[in-house]
Amino acid sequence: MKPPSSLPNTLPRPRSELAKLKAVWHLPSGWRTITAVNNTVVGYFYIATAFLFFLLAGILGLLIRTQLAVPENTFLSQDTYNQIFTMHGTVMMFLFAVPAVEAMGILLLPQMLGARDLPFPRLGAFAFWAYFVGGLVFFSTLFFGAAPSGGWFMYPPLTGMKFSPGIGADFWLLGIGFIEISAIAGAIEIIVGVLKTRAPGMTLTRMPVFAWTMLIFAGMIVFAFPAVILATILLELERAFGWPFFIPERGGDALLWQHLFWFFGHPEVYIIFLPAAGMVSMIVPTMAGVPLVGYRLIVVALIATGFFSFGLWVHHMFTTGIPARSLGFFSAASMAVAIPSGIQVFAWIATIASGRLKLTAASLFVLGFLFVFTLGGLTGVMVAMVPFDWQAHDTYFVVAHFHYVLFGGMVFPLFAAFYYWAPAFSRRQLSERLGKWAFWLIFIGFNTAFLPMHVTGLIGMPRRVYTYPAGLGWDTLNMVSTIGAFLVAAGVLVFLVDLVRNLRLTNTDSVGNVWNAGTLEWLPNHAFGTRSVPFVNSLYPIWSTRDLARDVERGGYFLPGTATGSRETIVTSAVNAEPQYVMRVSGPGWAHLSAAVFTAAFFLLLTAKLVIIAVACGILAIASIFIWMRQSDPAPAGKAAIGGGISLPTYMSGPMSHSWWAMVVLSLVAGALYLSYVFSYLYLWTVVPDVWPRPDSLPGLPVLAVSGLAASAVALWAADRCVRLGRRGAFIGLVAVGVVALIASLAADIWSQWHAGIRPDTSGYTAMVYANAVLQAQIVAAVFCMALFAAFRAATGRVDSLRRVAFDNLALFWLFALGQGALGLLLTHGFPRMAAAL
Amino acid sequence: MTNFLARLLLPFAIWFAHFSISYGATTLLCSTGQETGVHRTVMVLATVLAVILLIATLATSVRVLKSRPDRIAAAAATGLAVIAVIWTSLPAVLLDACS
Repeated sequence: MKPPSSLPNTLPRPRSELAKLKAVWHLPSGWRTITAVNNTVVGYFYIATAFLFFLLAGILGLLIRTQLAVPENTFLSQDTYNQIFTMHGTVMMFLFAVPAVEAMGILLLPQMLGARDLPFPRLGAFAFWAYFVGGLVFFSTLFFGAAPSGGWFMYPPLTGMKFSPGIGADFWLLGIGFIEISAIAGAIEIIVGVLKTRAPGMTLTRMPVFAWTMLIFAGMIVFAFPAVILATILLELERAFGWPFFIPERGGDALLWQHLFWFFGHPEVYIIFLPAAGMVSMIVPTMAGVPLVGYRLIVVALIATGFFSFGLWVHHMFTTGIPARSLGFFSAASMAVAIPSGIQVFAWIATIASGRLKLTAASLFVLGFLFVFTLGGLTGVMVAMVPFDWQAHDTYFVVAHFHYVLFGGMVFPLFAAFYYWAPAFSRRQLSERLGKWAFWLIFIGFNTAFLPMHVTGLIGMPRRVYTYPAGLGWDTLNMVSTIGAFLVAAGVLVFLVDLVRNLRLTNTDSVGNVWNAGTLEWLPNHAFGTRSVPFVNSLYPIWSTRDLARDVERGGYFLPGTATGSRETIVTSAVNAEPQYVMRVSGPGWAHLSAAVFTAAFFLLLTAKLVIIAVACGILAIASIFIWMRQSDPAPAGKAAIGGGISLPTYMSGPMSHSWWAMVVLSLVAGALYLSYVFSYLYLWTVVPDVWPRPDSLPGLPVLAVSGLAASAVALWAADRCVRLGRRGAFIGLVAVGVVALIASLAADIWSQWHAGIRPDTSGYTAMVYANAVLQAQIVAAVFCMALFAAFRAATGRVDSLRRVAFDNLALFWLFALGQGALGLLLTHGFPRMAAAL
Repeated sequence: MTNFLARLLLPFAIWFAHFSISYGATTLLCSTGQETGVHRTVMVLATVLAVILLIATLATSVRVLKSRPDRIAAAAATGLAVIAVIWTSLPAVLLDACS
């Protein structure tokens, strides 16, 4: 898109225009604030909750350090200690680190991209409330002695029913699985938001690095999180029904859990680190007063890190007895990831060197990050070397290493981000003096706590022991570490005092651009983002466009009011940011909130074995989602003039539509989940091929199931034709027939396996066969609900050849269900026959 | 522009494909008791093919991309991917299979 030669809209703007904009984006007040969906409000909620979990998990960390301060301490019992270190790791990783960076994305991205809001505000709010309710209930299990105690990675057999008979492990499996689903919802929101709601002119090469990192972060969530979701499903099926996925004596394998967990767990480190690196890439140029050195190389490095991180998972398993070739393979990949990380570090140093760094509190935290993270990276290269890892594995050396990486790579940048971005959202700036105190206390405390741990580990202290005998040389080092931990706590306390004294969140009159930053989030902002949507002509538009802030605030740029009388944002093309249509976004409501609460209740009550109430909550959750969806997909409202002679449609379906993109991403999530299953199936076959049946004990060829899938595909094709031709009645009938055929196909397959005498609790193989049915049933259930919704929309005249988003979304997922169904049949019926022939 | 994004992603996609195929093939060959020579041949072939693909990608990137910074970025992506492909292949080629 060519830059406009003059302002797209004439000035001054009519007074009523701004008043109308404000009215449409009015925020609910009082207790109704919880119904708000604006990215700023949800972002504040999200960050506050994530920070609360940081504090709670930090307190658990202090309890751990108090217990370990002296030898043979009896401050905590063994079982309590086990619960506390498990919850410390779990809460830090799942309830603080990932949600915190997701929260920063939700808060900052729309402002940074020049959007009025993210494309699915209610989905973002749903993700938050699900996380909030699920997280708090999960944490509260500690107070009832029902917390998990098997370590944050929950390895079986320790976490199997035999060794962990209570419900603590179930809380972990269902609770964390559920919270991961909430993270995926947020990731879908972020991917579509970054790709489709950037301001006109903001091509990918003009997109802030933070947005790049959030895009890669969300993409990694899409491919990594399904692995752990599958792992939690399998382990819960084993615990609840005795399906032996991880029990070696029954044809399972405990290492399968480790593969699935670390296929998620290692990318998780980068999922946490990359957005933090993005924040640093935003702060450093502003504080140094120069553009970021090597922008494109940093983007390349970020993408490389994202990809490489998926090839490292086995380096957490070097001591499990895997073949030497695998050791070498993953050791090399682990070292390779140091190169893109190094590119970023050198780019930041070069930027600092090429400018004049202002030594603010934010800058100090960035410098602290560079120091601490680099040390963590160096010890990372050490543990990537197999012989060293064999010595250091499961010792405090590794504890020190990953705290340097995670605290250094994520917590320091997060504090820097708080100090840096607070003026954009608060009436008062945070105190530089208190900020510097907080930094030095945290920095000195952190290194006092964790630097000695390298030595503690190297002289043999193992992880996860609740106490140790005196005289092993660990006493003084542990005491020093404990003092350091309390120094960190003091630093965090100073930061809290600063927040209480100075943070005054606002949507209207923030302090503003005190650092003279160049990116869009520093334009004057309201509940609706900027008054008008700017044209972006460089990486730092505020630096490159004269009077940008003034002209944007006066309404001189695009969409200075509301074109349709509702909340809107401009949707642009994914790569070149060409305006495509005006999208109407949802406002406050209760449906998404009740959906989140009931979904959380469903999972948590299921854990407590309160099945009937859980099912009732599940039904209420689906009903809430129906109400929520009913309010979406508004009818086309003609064309909207956004300024500069540009008139855009107000409705879009198909590949240009934001909801189509969201469904594609959702299908990728489901695909990643299923690929994880295929991996698990093939992995078990390579480990325990003996339990795979001979062809004569297999069910016959799945003719019925294949026919069901074929009939369903034909019905889908015909339903699509009916939408085009406007045949409403036939459409509803065909959707019904298609979905029934899909269900029948699944039922026929299950029946054929059962009829052949295959039972899920017999062996790893039989469990895998039925796990395939479970996964397919999930997808079919989703298609069923979506079909019900599309049929309802059609019956009420809300689906036609133009307004067809409800059907398009259904069709995409339906196609996925057909594909997964066919692949499942090939795997469970075809593979054993092929394997027997080998 | 679309090319730019593709040129950034493609080299790493090739690396990932090489990684997955090499790891998968190694595991399958080990589980079916194949000779070490077969492993090495598969690994070398996969690596040579991946490097050729990467070089071809770079050649087309240089031709297709208009701006110099974009070309440098594409070259950097390809370079990183080549290093990663060769580096991760080395142990698999040098070590005995399935030991």
